[in-house]
Order: sequence, then C-alpha cells, then structure tokens
Amino acid sequence: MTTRRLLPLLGLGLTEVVHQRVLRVCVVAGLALLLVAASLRDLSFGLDQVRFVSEAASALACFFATVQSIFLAGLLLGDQPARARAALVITRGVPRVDWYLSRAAPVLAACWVMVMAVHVTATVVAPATMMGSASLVTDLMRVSLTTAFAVASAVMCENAILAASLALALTVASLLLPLVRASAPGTPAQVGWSILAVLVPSFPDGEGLSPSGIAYGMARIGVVFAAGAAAFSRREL
Amino acid sequence: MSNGGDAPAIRATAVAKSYPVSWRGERRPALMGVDLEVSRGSICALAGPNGAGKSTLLRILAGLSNPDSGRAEICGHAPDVAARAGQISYLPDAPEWPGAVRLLRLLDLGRRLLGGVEGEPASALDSVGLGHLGSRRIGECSRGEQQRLGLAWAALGRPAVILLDEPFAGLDPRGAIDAAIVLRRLADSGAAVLFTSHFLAEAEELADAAVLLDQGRLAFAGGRGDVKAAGGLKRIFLARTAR
Repeated sequence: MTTRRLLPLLGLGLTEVVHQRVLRVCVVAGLALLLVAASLRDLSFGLDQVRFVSEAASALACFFATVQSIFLAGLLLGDQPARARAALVITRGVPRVDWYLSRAAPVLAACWVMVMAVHVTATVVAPATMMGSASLVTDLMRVSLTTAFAVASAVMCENAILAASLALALTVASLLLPLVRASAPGTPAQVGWSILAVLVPSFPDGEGLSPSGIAYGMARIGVVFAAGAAAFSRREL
Repeated sequence: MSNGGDAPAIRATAVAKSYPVSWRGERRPALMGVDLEVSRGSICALAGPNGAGKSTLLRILAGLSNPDSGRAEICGHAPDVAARAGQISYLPDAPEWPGAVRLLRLLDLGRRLLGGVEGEPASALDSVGLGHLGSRRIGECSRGEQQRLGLAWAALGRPAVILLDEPFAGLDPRGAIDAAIVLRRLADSGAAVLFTSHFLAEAEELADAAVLLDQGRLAFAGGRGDVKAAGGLKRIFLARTAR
C-alpha cells in the first residue's frame, strides 16, 4: 500500500460517491423524515417527547445509512461495471488492497456523513433532545459495521442482488437481536442468537458504551473489512 | 523487476479455463490447452467467433483471472506480478470509466498511479485525436471517444505488454486509423500488442501475426506471411471455425 497511489484513488472514489444519486436521495429522505418526526412529536402517545425525537433520529440515521451502504458498496465494488473499472486500474500497477480501500473508505465516509447530518439536524430542530456523543458514537459504530458487511458482501457475492440480500439479512438480524435477548434465557434459540451477535451489526445502547466496548466494536469492524480485502485480493475480475 | 531477458513478452502454455454454469458443479470450458507467444515489438491479432475464449485469455494474461491449468507469463513473470510492476496495460471490451471525471484528470490519475511517468496527459489525448476534449466529463463522451480515451490510457507509461479487447469497436474509420497508428507506434517502441477483433480486414492489415481461437481451442497461429499464404484471415476464419 502506498500513499502515492492511495490518495489519488481515494479522490476518485469520493468523486464517484458524491455523484451517486442514492447518496443524495438518502440524505434528503433521512432529513425530511426527521423533520416530520420532530413536527409529529406531540403524537408520541405517552412516550417521552424528547426520547421520541432522539430515537427517531437514531433509527432513521441507521436505516438510511444501511440502504446507502448496500447500494454504494454494490456500485463501487460489486456489480459488473465496478469490476470492469477495477480491471482497468489494477492492471496499471495498483495493488488490489489499495483499490479496495479506495472504494470502501468513501462508502464509509458517506454513511458517517448521513448519520452526523441526521444527529445534527435532530439537535437543531429539537434542542431539548441533545442526543449526546454516546448515541452518536453508537450509531457511527453500528453503521460502520453495517458498511463493512455491505462491502464484504459486495466483494464476496457473485451478483449485486445476492450481496444486498446478505447485507440486509444481517442488518435485520441485528434489529431482532434485542428482542431475543429479552426472551427467556438459556433457550437454544438464544444460544444461537448469542453466537450470531458477534457477527451482526449490533451494539449496546449508547449510554453504556465503554472504551473496551468501543475497542471491541472497532476490532469487529476491522475484521469484517479485512475479510472483504482478503476476498477481493483473490477474486476473479 | 527484470524485463524477462529473452523470454517472449507474452507466453501462454496449455492454458485451460472453465466457468461454473450451475449450482451442481457443472462447468463450461472456455479455454482448452491454448498456446500462444507474442514477441516484443510486434502486434498480434486474436480472432475467433463469439464465445471462443478470446476475452478469457486476455483476462488471464492480464492477471485478472487464474487458469485452471497451464501457465501464463508476461516477460517471464506471472501476470499479476508483471501487472504490479506496471508492465501490463489492459483495456476490456467495454471499459467502465468514471463518468463524472474529466478526460485530462483521468489521464493525470493514470500518470500518478504509474509513478509520475514521463509525458503530459494532454499529449496522450492529442495522440488519439481527443486533445480538444480534455475538460469534458467522460460521461458526456460518445462510445467512440471513450474507446479512444482507452487507447490513450493503455499507452500511458509505455508498458511492455498491451492487451486490448476489441479496441476498434465503436470507432469511426478515422478513429480506427488513428488507433492503428497509436498501436504501431507502441509496438515500434518495443511493446508487445495483443488485441482481439471481429474486423478481420483491419486486423490483418495491422498485425504482424494472427491467432484464431474456436470453441476454446487454437484453430490457427501464424505470421503475416502464413496468413497471406492461406488466403487471408477472413478465409482462415471461415474455413477453420465451426458455424
């Protein structure tokens, strides 16, 4: 890996991400829905209104970041045009890992922008929410792991639909995980889910996020990205 | 990395490749023991019907795909090693350029990837007749213009081996002549050029040697004199390939 090659490739990856329609659609839709949620907080049916807005913001940020990461990973690394583009560049002396990083990093950056935009907007439209840095860190970690899965799926699967389905299945599993955790302990299903918990993009809620929890999360994200890089280095283009 | 001494610039020995066609493990052969050699400073045309294995062979030689058996070498090295050393330039039949990037910026990127090789991107564009389009976005260019851009990209950094999949597709007559001039200039400077084409007359005129593939097997290989003696590439194609 060399900075000389990586920097211009990163610039190219960012240019491509910025010009993707899915990025603009997700950011606009996420912010629009958040504004709707903020204006509808009086309909929160007994829930704490501040909590209503903050949970809506967190859910919207994660949902749209997931959609965004699945689409962008497919467009930048997974589908046939993406492979043809990789072939053009890799044969000009670019190590595969450099190309992979230059595609994965802009996808991750776009998802972070999505999450931060929604959090900042939530704080602006409903200052009382003050979601706090713990919630932001949790959401950033969650979408980072989702992005890592989306990128790895795009690289490993033969077609984009299969890759998107796999990434989506893992995300849905992560949403179901808290429900299973709350069910009767010790059941076989729960044992299975606790194994799956290591794989799926799930993190404990923001308040309890400790430095060791962050380190563990970062390690999981790193392992999934590294698995994607290993798969890309062996993949036929 | 050494330049391979006396080894041919491109060498394929008994290369075989098949692709899975079902979940049950069935495979369809794409190449069955193909041999090929292209020396430095020469141009070789690779012809054959659709599905003959031409693109598969180019991808193996470019280090993008691995053969099931046999051996591919570029300047005496494995193709992926040669690619990492910047000795290969490969242009697929439908290059996917980043549409939002301007022509000059793309070639400048290529120049930087190759370690700041000599030559200005503008002159590379001039050589393929696109000098006046440098500030245009690639997505706004026609297919023929993108094909010319591909030639400029392929020529960057004077690679030892240039592999082109259908470089004349989509080019108008002037574009095809310009492309032939660029390829001849690259060969004269020492590069080995291997290109696939369905335009047999143009291929025969340009190439120093020709190879014909049919259903994954070698159907003909010979120099310009052999092609002429056999009545031309079109006649060889019709006689030696299955309908």
